[in-house]
Amino acid sequence: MIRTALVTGLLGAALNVAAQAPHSFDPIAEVLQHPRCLNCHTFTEYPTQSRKMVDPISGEVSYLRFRHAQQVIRGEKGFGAPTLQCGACHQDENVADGKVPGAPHWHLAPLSMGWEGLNRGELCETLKDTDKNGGRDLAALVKHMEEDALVLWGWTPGGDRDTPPYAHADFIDLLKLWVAAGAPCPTN
Amino acid sequence: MKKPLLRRDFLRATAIAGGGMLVACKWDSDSSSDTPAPRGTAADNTPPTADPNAERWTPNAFIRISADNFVTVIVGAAEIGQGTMTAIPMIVAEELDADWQRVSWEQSPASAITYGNPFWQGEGGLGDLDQAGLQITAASTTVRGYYTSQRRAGAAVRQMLLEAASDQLGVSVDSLTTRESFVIHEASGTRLSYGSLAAAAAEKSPPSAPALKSPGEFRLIGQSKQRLDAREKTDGSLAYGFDFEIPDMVTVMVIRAPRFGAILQSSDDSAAWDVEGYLGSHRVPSGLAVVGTDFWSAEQARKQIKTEWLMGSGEGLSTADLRDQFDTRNSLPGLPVRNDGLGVLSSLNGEITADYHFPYLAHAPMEPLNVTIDYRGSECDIWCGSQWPDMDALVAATVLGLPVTAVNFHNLLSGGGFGRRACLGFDYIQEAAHVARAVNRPLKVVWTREDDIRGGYYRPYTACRLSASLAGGAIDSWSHRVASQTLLISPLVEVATGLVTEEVQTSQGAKEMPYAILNVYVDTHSVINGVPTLWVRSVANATNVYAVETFFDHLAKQAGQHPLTLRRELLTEKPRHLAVLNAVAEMANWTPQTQDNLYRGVALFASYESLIAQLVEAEVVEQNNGTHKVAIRKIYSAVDCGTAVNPDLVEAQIESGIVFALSSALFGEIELEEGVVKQSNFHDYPVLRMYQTPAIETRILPSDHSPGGVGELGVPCVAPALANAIYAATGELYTSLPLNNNPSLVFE
Amino acid sequence: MTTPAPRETFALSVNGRVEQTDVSPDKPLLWVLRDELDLKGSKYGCGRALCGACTVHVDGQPTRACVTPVKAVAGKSVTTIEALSETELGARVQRAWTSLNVPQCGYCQSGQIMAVVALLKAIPAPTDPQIDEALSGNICRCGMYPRIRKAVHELAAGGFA
Repeated sequence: MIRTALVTGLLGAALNVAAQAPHSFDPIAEVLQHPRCLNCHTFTEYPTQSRKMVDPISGEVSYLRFRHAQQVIRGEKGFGAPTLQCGACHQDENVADGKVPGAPHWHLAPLSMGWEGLNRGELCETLKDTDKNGGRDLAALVKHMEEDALVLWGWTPGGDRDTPPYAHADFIDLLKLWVAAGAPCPTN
Repeated sequence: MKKPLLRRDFLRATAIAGGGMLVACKWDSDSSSDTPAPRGTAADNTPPTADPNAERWTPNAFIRISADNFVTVIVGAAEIGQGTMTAIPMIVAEELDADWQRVSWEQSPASAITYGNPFWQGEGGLGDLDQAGLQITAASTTVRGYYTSQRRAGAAVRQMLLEAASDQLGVSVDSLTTRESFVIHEASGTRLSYGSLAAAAAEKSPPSAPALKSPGEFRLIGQSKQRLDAREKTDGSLAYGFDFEIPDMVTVMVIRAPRFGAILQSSDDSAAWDVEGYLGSHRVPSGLAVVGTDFWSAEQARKQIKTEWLMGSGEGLSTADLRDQFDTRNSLPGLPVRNDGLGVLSSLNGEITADYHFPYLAHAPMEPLNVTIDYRGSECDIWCGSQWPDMDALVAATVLGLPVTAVNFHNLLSGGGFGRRACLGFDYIQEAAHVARAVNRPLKVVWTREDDIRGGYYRPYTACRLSASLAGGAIDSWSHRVASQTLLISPLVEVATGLVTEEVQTSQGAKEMPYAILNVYVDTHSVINGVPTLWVRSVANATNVYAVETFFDHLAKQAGQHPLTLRRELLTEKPRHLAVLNAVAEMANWTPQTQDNLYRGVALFASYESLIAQLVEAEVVEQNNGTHKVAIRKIYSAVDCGTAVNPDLVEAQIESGIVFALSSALFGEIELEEGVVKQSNFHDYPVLRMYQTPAIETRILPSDHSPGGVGELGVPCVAPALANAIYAATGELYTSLPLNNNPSLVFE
Repeated sequence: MTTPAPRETFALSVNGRVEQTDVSPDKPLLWVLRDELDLKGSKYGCGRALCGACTVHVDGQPTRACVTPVKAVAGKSVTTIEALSETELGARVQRAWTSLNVPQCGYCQSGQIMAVVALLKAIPAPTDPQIDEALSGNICRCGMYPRIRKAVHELAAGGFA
């Protein structure tokens, strides 16, 4: 039963891929829409936390995102309230055996870099928009994704946290491929 | 109500070095202690000027008056946050007419015979212990249990001071009065301090029946005095057990069974030796004791040790399966504990039925468990925050093979208890004693938060089957069946003897259902499984009252009655119940005619010789996806606790109960999967935080009744009042806790 | 699980005094304060920055000492509950706490008070949402939140001077 469902699902996925040509931005969107990124690239006045949900029958993985437990807020510069900063708990590295995640300059991305709920096209445009992305051209964007400590943390999140799809090096290769192709954006 | 032990028969006064007096009881010491640290007084937060070395700590004392006119009250009950160290001194100081600014407290040694709570007189079942009561701080008994004996002690000493002054001044006792630690001869304007009279007063015989004040004469009782322990709880100076140190002490963490009942087979600590400060590990009955120089080294080393376990009976236990198991039990008759009218028949033919389910809960006191122990072969000192020091001392003595007189148990103020520190399994104290034997040097066994959450002794999993029938718009019959894992020994007795005994810890709150219904039947099942369980603040009242009060609203709706109106109708014979109900409705300005954008639910409960009605005001809004968003706006409580010795501390206990209850109502749940406890810390066992706490308003109704208990009183009604408020909006009966598990509810 | 890094010498500024400690740089500040410097007012409650009982100030910012490696505070100024009464605001907060019977068991209160002092320094008259944002990281299992909130408001209004 489960095997049949899996096979049907895989077939369906294959058919979908065939029906819809893959876009060079797709894998990048997959990464950016992972909770490791989204939890701090919010449109809200607060960061979120997430819980992994695995469907007991299909095995499908989804993430339930919810407001950060301690009523943490974004604050003026994304580093939390002056009275309870992100750094009150989050260190420059994961601590307590990775149960408390940490990386240098742990903070929320500015509201202009909110990615929640965007479709791939919107996400792509937002990413490239220098008015929104901190004035980064494509080269600077690649450098940021390649070197920024907080971005890199997404692949070493500690504890039992999932990492985004694709190894970090592969993600950078895919990003460079997309840039080399002229950084096209999908329409949806 | 039990008759309190009359301490007057046993009072004995002694003059002490430096000119003071000590009022003690006639028994000899069965325990001793070091000179305790000086404590705060009400003279806010100035350190006491009484010289702690002026006289030696003497066991068995209740009251000490020093030459510099300080009064120290030696308190038998434990301070777990509820205000014992303020309330008990207030009671003594009241009858003594002591200057509250010069009253201080000390924790008594562990000794049921001397310091046991008279409330439990007869509960011990054994000789002298039986007369003295247990030295247990539980069941909201501290103030109500010690009230009379402490008043008598204070009054007796005052009488002796008057007699001493009478001798000294050559005037009659009748011509003397007392005020704020002075005996006053109005006619001559002479004032003699208690301290100056104490030595002479010690020569007097304690009066057999000292006159007690009438409530109208009270100067302290009924006043909202500041806590005497507040200062050291705000400047970081109070040493809880976790902070207590003795010379050359090592720190021990225990690797305990991953499943309850599993047995340690083997361990490999080779990697732990890379941790600086690791000192080795020792097998103890509960697992493997890992020794380090301090907390961090023990914790780091423990992570490096691999253990293999022989799984016990708990291996297959998953809480997800319990629901069906308990419902099956509840489809069979249990042990009847109440049968009014044709109650037994009503249990068979109820036309409206609901099955309730309540999860395991952990106490999670802020200060995790810990025991500091110095075992020296022939004797032993233990420092520990305990709600049951005399038994903890006895259990430690038993494990160590010592007479109990060789165990000096120093009870410390606890960072919360909620029942966990009065453990019927005596788990932490037994373990510490075993560790002390194995390690054989001064040590502290510490529990991490994970150890605490996963350590068992939970509020038992419970299911209730409520069943009722209506006739002519009235509730004609009511039955309540409880299946709960038992706390006490009755299931063992059942197994051994085949006799079924009533388990009060299961039936409470169901048996006492207060409404005037003709046919009532209550029966209980005691279930045994491998999960260790224990009383948690308000015990079975929390679960049974939830079932009673939510089912009541459900029936009221079926009967076409307003829940307030039907409650009033069925409580006409119970004026104190009715009074708290009416008071809380008035506080919230709620009548059966109220029409506004708020939903309200009420619940009512009486126990511990106190009564409470609580009302939850909530906004409940249906959202697009069909779920209901609930915002709890305010919780009102009307309390009748008889004489409120310190009203502000009564209010604090009610507030505390509300927050505790909301934590469990909204998200409190311990789950087991294949025998392994799923939760581990405050991220997956959340408790209420500041932003989730609604406005709270509490009113204490005036009363001259003797004091009732309040430590647990604020807990049981909160969840049903909340569920009833939501029921008023959605019409859905919420039959299991925590409410957050309900996919149709979203709490703001 | 890796074992902690070997000892190094750190000069820590704690409550205005420079303290030399010789500890693993990974050792959490809480255990350095409690077990090396014998400052036991900061409490262990969860070990995971979930309860706030260990809250101290690092350069004035409330910080969970239980997850802060000691290397992270080298060169910074640490203040604990033990030094709080030396400041006017700290003493006022402590007076509010005793006057309003805020503590019950008291175990969380060092952390609560440290968080409140930081709150009132940053926002002298906080609104209820600002109180929630500043203090919801500090658990009080005895549930004294309404009293803490009341105390903060009374302090903001100039009380307990």
